[in-house]
Amino acid sequence: MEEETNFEVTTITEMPPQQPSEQFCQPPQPQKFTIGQAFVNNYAKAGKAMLRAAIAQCVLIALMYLIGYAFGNSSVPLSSLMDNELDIEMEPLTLALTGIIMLWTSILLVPSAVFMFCFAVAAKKTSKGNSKALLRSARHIKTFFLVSGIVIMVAVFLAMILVVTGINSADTTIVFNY
Amino acid sequence: MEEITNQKYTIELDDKATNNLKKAGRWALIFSVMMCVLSVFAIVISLFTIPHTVGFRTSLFVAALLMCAFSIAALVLSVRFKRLVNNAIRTGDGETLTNAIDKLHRFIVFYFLYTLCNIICLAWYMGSLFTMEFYVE
Repeated sequence: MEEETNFEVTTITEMPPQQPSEQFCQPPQPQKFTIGQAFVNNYAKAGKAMLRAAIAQCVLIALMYLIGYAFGNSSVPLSSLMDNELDIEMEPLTLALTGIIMLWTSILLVPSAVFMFCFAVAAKKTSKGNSKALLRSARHIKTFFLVSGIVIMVAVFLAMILVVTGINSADTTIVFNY
Repeated sequence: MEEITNQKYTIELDDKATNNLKKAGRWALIFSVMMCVLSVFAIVISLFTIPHTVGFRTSLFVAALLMCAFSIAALVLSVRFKRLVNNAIRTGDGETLTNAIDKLHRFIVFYFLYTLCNIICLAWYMGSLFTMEFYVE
């Protein structure tokens, strides 16, 4: 008489050799977006706004450089920049720091302005239907934000030094000639 | 850019471009936060470190306040830009990408206004140097 067993019969089958997944073999497919005329218009507007901002930034750089050079470089008297006589006796440290901050920031802002112009050009080309310019503009806008972010971090750090050193030297008074 | 109908187009963004857009959103946020911090410093500087003259200090303070307002607006827009770009890349929706570019455009406008404020502030400072004299009390 045979005894009944509760053992389950399992059959061992050989696992098929693993094939590399197809998704690893294929290069990543570019993502497709269906866009309307609004996208093109927005891109053109962004480009124009960036161009305006870039021009404004150039003016800012020039002004900052001028003031920074006058204040930061002690060998150049401020009176040489103007016709009328001027007697400046501000706190020397505050004056020098203000100058250095403005000089540094103006120099650091230049690459940011360059990328702004690059983005403006790429955006204009994109709005005319150039797909390569679209990819380029994505790179330029990233670089612009990256560079500007780093520049403004430096400016914040320098401004912090100015605030810390300058608060105690606020005993300077300005008197207007008129 | 491939035209489907009169109004619709398809654009292809490769992996690099989508990554660049994502990074742009992240750095736009950092940039606008720093703009806010800098404008707060400008307020502090205009209040404490600029020499005492009512008109001069008030003008700088107003300019710093305006800078603060513009930087807050830019911060809000950068947050929206970042979110919309990430959503657009995740879903592949062109409409969301269009909205993201709209936010980018507005962000740039506010950055322009911020820069304009800076220019006015500095130009006023530079101009005032020609017509005033300093002395230590």
